[in-house]
Amino acid sequence: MPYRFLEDITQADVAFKATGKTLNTLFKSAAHAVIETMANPKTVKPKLTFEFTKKEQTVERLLFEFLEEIIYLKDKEAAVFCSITVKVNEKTLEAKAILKGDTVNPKKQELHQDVKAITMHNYKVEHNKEWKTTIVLDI
Amino acid sequence: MNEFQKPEMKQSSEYTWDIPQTYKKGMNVPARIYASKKLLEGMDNSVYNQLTNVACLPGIVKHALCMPDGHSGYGFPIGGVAAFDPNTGVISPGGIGFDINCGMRLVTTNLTYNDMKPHLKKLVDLLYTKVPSGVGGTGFVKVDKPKFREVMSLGAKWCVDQGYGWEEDLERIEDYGRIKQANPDQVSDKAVSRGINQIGTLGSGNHYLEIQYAGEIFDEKTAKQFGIHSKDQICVMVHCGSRGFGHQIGTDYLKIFADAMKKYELHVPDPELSCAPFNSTEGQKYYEAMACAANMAFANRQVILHRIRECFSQTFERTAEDLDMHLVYDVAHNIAKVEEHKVDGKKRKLVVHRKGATRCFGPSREELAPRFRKTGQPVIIGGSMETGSYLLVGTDKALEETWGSTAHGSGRTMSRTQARREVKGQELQKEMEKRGIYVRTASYSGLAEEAGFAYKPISEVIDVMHNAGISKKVVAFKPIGNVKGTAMLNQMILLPLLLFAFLILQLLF
Repeated sequence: MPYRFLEDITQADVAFKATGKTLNTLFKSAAHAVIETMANPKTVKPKLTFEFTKKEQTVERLLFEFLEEIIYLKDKEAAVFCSITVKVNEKTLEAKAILKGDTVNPKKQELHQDVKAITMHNYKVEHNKEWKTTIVLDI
Repeated sequence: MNEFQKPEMKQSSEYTWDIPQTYKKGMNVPARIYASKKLLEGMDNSVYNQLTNVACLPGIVKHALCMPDGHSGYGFPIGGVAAFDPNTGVISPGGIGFDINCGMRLVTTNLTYNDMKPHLKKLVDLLYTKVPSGVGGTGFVKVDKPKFREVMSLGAKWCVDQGYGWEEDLERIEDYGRIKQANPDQVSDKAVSRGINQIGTLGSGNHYLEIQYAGEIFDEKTAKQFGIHSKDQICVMVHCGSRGFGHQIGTDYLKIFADAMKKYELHVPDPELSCAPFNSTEGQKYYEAMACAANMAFANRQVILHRIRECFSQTFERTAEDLDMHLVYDVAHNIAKVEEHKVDGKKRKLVVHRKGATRCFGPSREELAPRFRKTGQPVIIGGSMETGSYLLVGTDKALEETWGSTAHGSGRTMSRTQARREVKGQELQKEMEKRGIYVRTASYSGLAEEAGFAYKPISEVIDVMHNAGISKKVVAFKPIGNVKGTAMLNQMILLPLLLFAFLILQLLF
């Protein structure tokens, strides 16, 4: 998955860079980085399914809202996640997602950090040959 | 983190370093950092950039301040303090943080280290199961939406009214555990559904519940007035905030303020400093929503105190009253409040933002309960889980210099990834146990990230504020047991599982 965690952005929190040839892959990469920050996805079973749709005016806002929804579902459903299917309509700037995961269970899952929020710290989405973004998560 | 050059600073006293208003275009006031030379040299360069960005905000009064535990944050640096004129100035979620009213709570007991030693593991294990922590932790207090609105409005008082605490607890909490401006109508449904099940939970990151003993008493008279009577006395410290509820309010208003900035034609150097005029509709709505999150955090720590009292009572087979489990104090270190301060000799109302900074009012302040009007307010500053923590007392000098504010913790010196590379969580847990600190955690990577070496030495931070006369040392505590912000088996799934197992056994036998 084209994302990597960065060390030189923040000491107290978690930052990552995600890339993708399409908005679909960018969104999927960024979502996986968020999912992995909360728990090792290999240790989470796909017992629960959450579907959501986001529509925004700009790509930046759409990605922000899309990732924020994952954080929101983590708390609302007391869940961690293992996979996500994403479909982004680049023309209408609409993202549909199917997120799979399970209720938190530290006896079965390798849990990491409880992400508080997606920040706007140095946040931007760029498109050159490929899409890329750098995101800082507040821990 | 090192893309900005350190500005030239003028040392204005032994522990204060000033950045002139001319350093950056747009600065409305100068900036001041409280630090020793060593701590200053260790600060990452983003702190200077972020602090001087704060100095650019409209309506800021006198100076932008950074405490000695300062490190880079979002918008404001962590350790940042700034006061704004309510008529010409702004309120900024970036000056408060996503974890609104993250704070500290300290509880006494009449137990000694030797009393605790044979029971320590059993007690920490019990606390670990009774105080949920980590990803997706849900609390035992179940409320519906109307009741949650009461929590938002009443804070710790709601808990005491429900039997989760003692009446005396309330006067030992900043603002008596309730910010009156709270208005649940300004809170989104999303924030409510994110936080409604989280009352009484720790969270993760650097949040913790710690059993400590008094290691050194610096000021016996004040220590006694605060309930610490001797070395080796066992106390309990809690660090947590408003959980997903506050995080969602921060996120909601960051977006609302991005639009408000255009409406009010405000320009800031960093999008994380998005703000609105304090007296605008958006500014007031955020202030009222922030107060709801602050009250939820007071309630959260109050319910945790109730659980701590239950666990001690069960372990030692004595009542919490018999164990003298009194609250010393509860302080917020991520908050904005309207306070009266003297500016150039005249009293003015100001919107004081403290982000990773603790209120430390001296004895002259009317906001303090009568019991603290001779001493000043207790100030609780937590260190890393290996080094220990401090109880201090606020001073009137702080009111003159820092809007009555001091440091809040150690401040990180190392990234989480770097800390994980340096040590494995399991090794650290074993090593700490050899040194007499028993830790329970379900996230070993999270434990490694919180290793003592990843933080600045707490004693240096404390000494700066003590020697500068801002907050005076009362007691230093040493950790012996720690529930680290991790995760537990969710009670919502545990109970059905136990019921199912019970039914199966019934069928078999």
